[in-house]
Amino acid sequence: MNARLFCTVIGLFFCTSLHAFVQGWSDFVMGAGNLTHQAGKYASDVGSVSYFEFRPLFTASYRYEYSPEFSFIPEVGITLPETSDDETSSTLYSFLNAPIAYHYGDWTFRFGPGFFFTRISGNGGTLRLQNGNTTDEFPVPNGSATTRNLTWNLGAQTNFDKDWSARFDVSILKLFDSEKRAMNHVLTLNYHFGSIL
Amino acid sequence: MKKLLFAFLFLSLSAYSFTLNNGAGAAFKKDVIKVNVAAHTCTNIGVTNSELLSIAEEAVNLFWNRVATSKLEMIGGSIVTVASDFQTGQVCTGSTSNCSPTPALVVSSDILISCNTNAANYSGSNEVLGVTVPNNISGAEIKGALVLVNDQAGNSFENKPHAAKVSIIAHEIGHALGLGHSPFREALMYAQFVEGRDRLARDDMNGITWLYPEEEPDLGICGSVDLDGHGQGSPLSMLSGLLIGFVLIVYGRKLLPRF
Repeated sequence: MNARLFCTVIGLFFCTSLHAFVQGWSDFVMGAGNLTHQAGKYASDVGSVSYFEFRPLFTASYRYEYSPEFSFIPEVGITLPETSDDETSSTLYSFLNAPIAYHYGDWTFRFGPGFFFTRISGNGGTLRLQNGNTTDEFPVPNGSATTRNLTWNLGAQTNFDKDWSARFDVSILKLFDSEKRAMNHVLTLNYHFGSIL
Repeated sequence: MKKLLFAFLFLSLSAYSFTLNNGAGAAFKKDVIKVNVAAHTCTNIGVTNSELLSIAEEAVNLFWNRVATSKLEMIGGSIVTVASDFQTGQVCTGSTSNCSPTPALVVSSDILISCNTNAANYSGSNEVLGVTVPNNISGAEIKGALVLVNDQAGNSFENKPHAAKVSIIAHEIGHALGLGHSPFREALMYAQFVEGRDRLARDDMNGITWLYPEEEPDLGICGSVDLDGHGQGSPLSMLSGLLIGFVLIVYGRKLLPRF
């Protein structure tokens, strides 16, 4: 079932864009904001955790209006790459979501599946670090690894006017695994281009 | 505005740099990795073999089994009978940075934790709590790894509180999985023991994610979007999935009733 869901999500995303080009979409939206990855999950210091991280995020989506109340809003998002202070590694996050939206006045509520990608890259080389009573050269990863997580996303958007909106989304990774379950959250300010055709 | 934008970009990005403990980036290829404990009696660490196995189980559940972006799954194994060399032998010949594993101590599979009294393994110091070597590596695959806990009289492990023992064993298990040390004090893989660690830091999570990347869902029939050759499946099967999706969207709109 998960493989079919993946096919459907990816297929829906790319194929609705092609369909949009043919049919015309009601709204193309671009946003900028912040992504917090696995909020409260890891130690930001010994004995403390972080629920917010400053990590710029850019998104693009288009609203496929099925009815005045319901839409399908496929979306992509990507962060700026993060490079370690010693420039030996970098991390990049991206996502691909396929939520169904319900519109009520100036509010839009979104729910649906998606995929979250984590790309960690290393430049190779070594770092000299303490090892017991001496120091040693520890290898730094050479090459990249990309992970792919199925996510379940829930969010709300408020429209300031016809051009601007803000939204807050929560993405759950490993929803059914009580030990690994984690949550990302996204806050963006969006500009609505309207129909682009 | 330009200055603000520049500052916005400049401030965003300070990520973490983890290390490995071998140049090949080797990792276990098994779906589930067991942590076993050697059956010989531990004299000076303040816990029995059964308690040490319980500590190992707690360590993997509190730390390594909690990374959403990693496919790593670990379980507590069993108490296993091994040769006496594991209790008294030297894990490497040569220096710690140029270790030639002693053949008698090679672990055939999974992770083995053993008490050990050979001072040469700990640079002659009781402050060194343990040493770990993935001593059974074939190419980029770790087949087996050995964790030796310092069982010399007067060692520092014995009088540590339970939570500290869990984090120490978790640190050594991190080495067994293929990680090196971290330069960050909040990381479990930091070279020195720090009281109060109860979870992984970002550096640890990135390291275990790089070694054991999650690839949800299983793409046996749909292909992979992995860009680095780690994934499986073929691009052709993914394209066929896209085509099916397009057909569903185009013709599904005509078939489904409006709300």
